[in-house]
Amino acid sequence: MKNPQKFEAKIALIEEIIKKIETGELPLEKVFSEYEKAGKLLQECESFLEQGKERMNLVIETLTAGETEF
Amino acid sequence: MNQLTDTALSVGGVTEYIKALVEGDRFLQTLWLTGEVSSTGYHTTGTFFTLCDPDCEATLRCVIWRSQRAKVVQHPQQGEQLLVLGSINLYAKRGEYQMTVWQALPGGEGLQALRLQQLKSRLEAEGLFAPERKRPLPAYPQTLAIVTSPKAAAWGDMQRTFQQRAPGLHLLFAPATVQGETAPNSIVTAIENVNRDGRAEVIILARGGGAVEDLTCFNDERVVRAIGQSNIPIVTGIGHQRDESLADLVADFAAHTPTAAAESVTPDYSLLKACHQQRRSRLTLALTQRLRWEVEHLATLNKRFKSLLATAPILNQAVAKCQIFSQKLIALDPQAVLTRGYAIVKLADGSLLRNADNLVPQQELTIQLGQGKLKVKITEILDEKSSKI
Repeated sequence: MKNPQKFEAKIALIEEIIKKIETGELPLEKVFSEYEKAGKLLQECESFLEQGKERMNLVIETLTAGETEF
Repeated sequence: MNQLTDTALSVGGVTEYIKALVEGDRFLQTLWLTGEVSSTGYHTTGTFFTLCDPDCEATLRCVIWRSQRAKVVQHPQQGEQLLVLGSINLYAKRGEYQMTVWQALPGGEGLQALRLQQLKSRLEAEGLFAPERKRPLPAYPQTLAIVTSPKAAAWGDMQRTFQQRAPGLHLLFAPATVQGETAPNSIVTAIENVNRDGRAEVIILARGGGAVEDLTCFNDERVVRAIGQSNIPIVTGIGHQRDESLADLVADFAAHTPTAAAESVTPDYSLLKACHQQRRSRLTLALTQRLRWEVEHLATLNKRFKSLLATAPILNQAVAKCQIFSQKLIALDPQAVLTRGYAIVKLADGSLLRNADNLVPQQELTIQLGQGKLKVKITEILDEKSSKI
């Protein structure tokens, strides 16, 4: 099973897992393991967005700080 | 006295002589002449007019014969300059000479205007003025070349404009004469030099407003061609009141004053600032929107994920099944059966008793109740086969 690095790929995988569990096409052991996996991916995505938000706020601050020099 | 009368010629003879002289002279027979029309008269046979010098010290009688009249470009107008082509003829009977005119063109200013018009048409036909030829000007040029007279006000005006709009601009000055005979070559040389130097991104060819005659160099074919052939785009800033000069027509852009030319090649500072701020706002907005969308999307996924536990059918099915099994097991628990009043009966050897076969009175049995264990003896065998309770 591939281990996606990119944010979008992780999101896509989460969606896929949720859909598979909802439609009931997985055997029960798979349901548990995939559920765990999805939980972990969600966590990773959340922290990535949090980091991104902080970085962006920094950039916007820098941009608007420079405005006064104009 | 006799000698004089012997050698004297006749009138006819002299006239013949003069006629031969005049009509045999190649120069007089194909003559270009320019003068002012002092009088003119239209007749059925031809147009008779008189040309004279500006100070009218000499006059020449002329005629355009009827057959030639339609082909003539410019008809004699009283007081106007005229350029004529024709031959001188002598009229013996009247003792006069007269010019037979085959072609007449407007002289003086009119001639210049005509020549200019012809040049313009010719260059236009070559496609030199075509809009497709015009190159776009670079948006933020770093190096500019100016071709103008160092003495003219134009240079000062442009320098001030540049100072205001683009202080860091690198200016190359290519001095040229912009009026008089030497102007066309001077301008051509300046343009060629700038092209050879190669550093300039745009050339401004400028001259402050002067009398129209002073601007003739900008209608010169050499200048027009030099502008057309320049590898570097050229902007003209030639101040004048009348129609555009040929240089304006061939240039990549014609501003109509030196100041306008300077403005056309430098970005407007306030406009730049506005664009920059707009760009920054767009960037910030785009960033925040995208991030917000992703956060919301992730929250939605989270919700679905959490509710999976409650809604996933397979889980529910599995749980339900386990519950049923669990209940069944509970029901099947032997201990539970016993508490309902059933008993386990065993023989002396410990084997389970299921039926009354092979039993005899006095035989010993053990009974396990829900609570308690008994040892009993059979008193009577009531029925061997019945299974009714």
